[in-house]
Amino acid sequence: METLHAIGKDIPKKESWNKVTGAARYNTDFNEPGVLHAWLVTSLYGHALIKSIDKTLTLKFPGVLAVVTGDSMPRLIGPILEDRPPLAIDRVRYFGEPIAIVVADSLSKAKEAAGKVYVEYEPLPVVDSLKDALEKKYILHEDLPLYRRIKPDEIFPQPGTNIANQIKIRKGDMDRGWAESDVIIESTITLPQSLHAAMEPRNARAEIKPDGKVIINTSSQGPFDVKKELSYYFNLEESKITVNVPLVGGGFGGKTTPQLEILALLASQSVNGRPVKLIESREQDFTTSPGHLGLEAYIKLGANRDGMLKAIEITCQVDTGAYTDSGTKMTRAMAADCTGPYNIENVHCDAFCIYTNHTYVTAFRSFGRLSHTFAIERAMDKLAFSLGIDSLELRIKNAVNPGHFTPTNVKLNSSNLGNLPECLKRLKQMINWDEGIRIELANGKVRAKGLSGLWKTSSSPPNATGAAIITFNRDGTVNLNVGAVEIGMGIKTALAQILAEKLQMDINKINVVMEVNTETSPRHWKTVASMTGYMVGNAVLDAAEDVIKQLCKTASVVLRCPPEVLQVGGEKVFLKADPTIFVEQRAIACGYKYPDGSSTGGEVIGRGNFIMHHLLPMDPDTGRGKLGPAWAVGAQAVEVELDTKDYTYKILKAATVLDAGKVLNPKNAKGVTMGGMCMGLGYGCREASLFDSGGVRMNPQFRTYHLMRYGENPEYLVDFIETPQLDSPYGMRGIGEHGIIGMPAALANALSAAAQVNLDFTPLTPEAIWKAKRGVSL
Amino acid sequence: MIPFDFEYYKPTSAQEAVSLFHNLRSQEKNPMYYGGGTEIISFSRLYQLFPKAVIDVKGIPECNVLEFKNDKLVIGAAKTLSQVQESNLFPLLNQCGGRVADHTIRDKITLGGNICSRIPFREAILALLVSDCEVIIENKNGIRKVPLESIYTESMLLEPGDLLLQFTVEKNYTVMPFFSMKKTADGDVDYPQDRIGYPLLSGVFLNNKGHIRAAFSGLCPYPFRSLKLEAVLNDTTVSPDEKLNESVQCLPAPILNDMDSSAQYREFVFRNTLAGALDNFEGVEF
Amino acid sequence: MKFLDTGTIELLVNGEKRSALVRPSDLLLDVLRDQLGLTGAKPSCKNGDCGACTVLVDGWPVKSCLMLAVEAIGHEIITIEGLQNAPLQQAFVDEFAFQCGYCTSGFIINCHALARIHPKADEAVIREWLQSNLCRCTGYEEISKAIHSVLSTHKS
Repeated sequence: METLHAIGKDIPKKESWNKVTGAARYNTDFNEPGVLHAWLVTSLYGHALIKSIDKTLTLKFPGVLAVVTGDSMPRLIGPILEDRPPLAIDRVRYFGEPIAIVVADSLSKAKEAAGKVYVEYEPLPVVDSLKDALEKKYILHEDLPLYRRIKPDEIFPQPGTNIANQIKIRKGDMDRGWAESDVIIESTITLPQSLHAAMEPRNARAEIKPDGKVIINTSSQGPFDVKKELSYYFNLEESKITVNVPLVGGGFGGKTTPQLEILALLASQSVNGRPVKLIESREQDFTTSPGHLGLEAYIKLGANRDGMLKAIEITCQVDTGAYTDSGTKMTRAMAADCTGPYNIENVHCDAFCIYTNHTYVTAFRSFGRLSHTFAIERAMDKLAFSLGIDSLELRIKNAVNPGHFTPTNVKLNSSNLGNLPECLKRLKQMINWDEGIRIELANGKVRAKGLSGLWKTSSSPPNATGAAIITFNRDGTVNLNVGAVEIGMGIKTALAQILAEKLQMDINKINVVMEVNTETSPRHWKTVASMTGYMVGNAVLDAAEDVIKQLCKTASVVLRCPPEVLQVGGEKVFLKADPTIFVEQRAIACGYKYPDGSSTGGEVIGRGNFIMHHLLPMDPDTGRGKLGPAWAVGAQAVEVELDTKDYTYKILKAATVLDAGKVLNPKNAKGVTMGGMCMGLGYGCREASLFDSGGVRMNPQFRTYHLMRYGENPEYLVDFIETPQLDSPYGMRGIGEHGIIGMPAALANALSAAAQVNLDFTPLTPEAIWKAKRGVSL
Repeated sequence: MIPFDFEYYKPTSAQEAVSLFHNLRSQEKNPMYYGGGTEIISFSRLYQLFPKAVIDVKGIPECNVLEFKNDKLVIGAAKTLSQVQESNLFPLLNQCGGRVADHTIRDKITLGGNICSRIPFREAILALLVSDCEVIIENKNGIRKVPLESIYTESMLLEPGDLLLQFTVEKNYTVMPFFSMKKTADGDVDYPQDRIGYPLLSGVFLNNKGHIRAAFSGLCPYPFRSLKLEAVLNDTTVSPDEKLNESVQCLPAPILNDMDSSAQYREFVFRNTLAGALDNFEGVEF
Repeated sequence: MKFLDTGTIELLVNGEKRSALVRPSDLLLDVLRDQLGLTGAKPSCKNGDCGACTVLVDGWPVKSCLMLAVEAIGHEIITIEGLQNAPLQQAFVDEFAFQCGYCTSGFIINCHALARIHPKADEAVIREWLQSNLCRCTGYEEISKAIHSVLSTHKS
């Protein structure tokens, strides 16, 4: 039999034609007569006491059925630390914080009536910066020590401060490290909060059936998490909750932890369980729902004369905003990978998760590494400059390699790490590094290059799972049902490819269930962390093995031979030794019917699962532990052309080389990587959540919060190397997030070289570079 | 979703529109003339405007003219910025109007609407300010024709019910050499129409037989043309450096300081732009 | 013409006469989606900033969040559902020019209009037009390839 290959092929997304015809349905595309609409009343202040909420006028408004306020759910919630009221109670801590939900029989009435809820505020001092927070301008959570810690092994709040968490890494001997260092540099960076800005605003619909069953329809990356948390917060049996997720219009981490699902359910509760839709406006999506963390980091980095890194001291201060949500977990994740992809034996890292009156934060593509990498990679460039060593050579020299230990003392090998030096070498060719990093052109223009290394592992719970169910149609075609959500990365197609390769089938004959329904889809932790291909992919392989075993068993009866001599492929089960002797898959997948009419075999149903193994929580004193099964490493570069007269610049080229383990779908992998790069460049050059001194968001629209637009993107150079991860499907590594990680750092390094000034911040606007050149602090 | 109701009228004549306006006003319906509607819709959605009636002017024939008549370019106020741009009858206006919002929205924004915008940049007006534009306005007392500068200072000084019908520009202004630019907070502009976003500085320089006329948006809180500034630019006795210094002194208002840019940086960009423009006109046959 | 209150209007959408019960202040986007079931045009910013709701009005791209439904009376509306096997749709599939797909309807509609109105568009015109739409997933390269592949067909 000829081998069929689905792995390594440019297979268009299964849902492609639905997406180009408008037929693809997202959560707000389902029209439904009789559904009620909710609109949020949100805080106009960054920090204030709520003196009173007057809903009289609203309740009198025609079409209004209910106004829900914080007293309907007087408890705190949070995935790691319970510090956030679903609806504000007595106090708001960020601009946009939900205060009330107005439920009406039409969206326009809900919205108009929401404008009539009168909230009386008493403004409080605003903690507008990490500095304010650390100086205790105001303690934002007086009850911090009383808050329930959901994950006690990873959250260590400091009562009487604004510090929600501190993670420590202590590795090696710092005194020895500094003693061995001939050159020591210090570097401080500042990065603002920003936004996920998925094109589909966040939304949810809730309904409680007369039998008590709760139905949630939501745009979420974690349907099973929604089910788990609602069950816990509302004290419901999990069997009483069904969460449905259709195609999701972009997530980037912003749709991982439940928020609107809870509010929609409160709204439905207030109207006897009638279905209620809650759709955020763009402005609410940008201010009410969580964003991306801000970071200030201090690094002291030492190396010997030869450029070998000897010691690093890192302090990270994460701006988690008003509540922690995933902020504490990202703080931990950046501490765990705190050296960047470089081998340093002596490490001292303190990572703090700090409350401010900014928007609270949640997971964001790269889970903190984007920000932390900026700190490391700026420091690496400064060190290279001080040592007089080529910055790419410095990175190759110090790259993590098999045999090294991570900051949390995980021993690395080529399977769990990949090959960073090879990525750097490939990158060097790709961007013609040897022509020089700074070239002066005519007209006062300068062309310059900057680069960044990167690595990232995942931070799942140690018992996170993936699962898959395979069923057959009577024609022998296959249905694959998984709990992974299609958020745009092509995961459903990738899983179909994994299955097609394993069953040796035409991928067009594999149907993937696009939607996730927690009642019928097998559980998956959540679609995050670039881990779905690994976790659910392994489950798919497991399910395929199960299918093969069942097919061979039935076929062995039909073909009168032991199952061991049979093989599945080309929609047949055949004798390995003589493929001309076979039975069609379709003849046995739903039971085999003998010529005389009697039957045997029955339905083939494949089931497969996967659970994380050998993960260990981090030790609170040293950080020893293991957060994820493997890393993916890579190297990135940016080439800019800076006009030294006015500091405007063009991003000419952006390059990425990732160790992908095995590229399942090259065109898709390149696309996802370029998308990450574009997002990273956007963060580097222009994106920032801007707050005034009262904590009021000044740019809550696309009109004022600028994303990269068509044609502003550079020329992309993307390549992959393939060092297999041995326990992953076909050796693949998760790389969905990685394109973003080093981009802001590479951009800052390129512009610092071009402008000949240290640029240790984003966004790198022309004005900001101009100010840095003039020595004006921002 | 506009969270309130309003009445919608689409009259077919200017007289009808004006009388509707006054009628609705007397009923306290806060009527607004509706061109492209982009601003009425987006501001109403955010509770920043509350018309109880809108009067769509796109059905009025005079508002839909776009042609040369007796050596004058006549542009109806309801012509969209895209239509003006595609007609290519007035390249300077193409460039200024062609930088407002983005291309698709310019299929909706009208010239009259942009010039009366509440968003302070109103870039299309720059071309009209330097070209001795006249404005034709209808109201209760009939039609009047006035020079643009007589009814524009920081914004359009219109009486209630004033309906902008047309803008007229002498043909010779439409063929004069010019230089125009726009910079935003995000940086460089690669292509003439590139870059979505409010301007840090948007400027036009028209070479009127050797005399430079200039108008700017984004620099001060409103678009302006300053004769005082033009006098400096055209003064042949002053060195280029002095011109820049003096120009900054004759701005009509303090330089804008907002989240897109500090006033200092705007001034820096303004000086660079002037220097570039002066270079640009150097050697041009005046 | 006037509409003082909620009433029925007739719209010409994708070649069909459709009637809808609208308030004069209802947006074309909301009426297309909620009343006519044409959910291809997507709400994302509802402020004219992102282009996800772009439809054709008399052949020109318009952001349907910035147009009243009553304004569309007498005009020919084409939504993404009205395109059938348009070259741009095939090009978007072939080039992988979308990931989550939420911006795709708007991008395709805008590209489709561009290819019809300026079949020989140069780079400056392509940029000017397509900067009206935002995509958060791709890095725009695939969209660029898709529009160029269709325009080059016209050019050759």
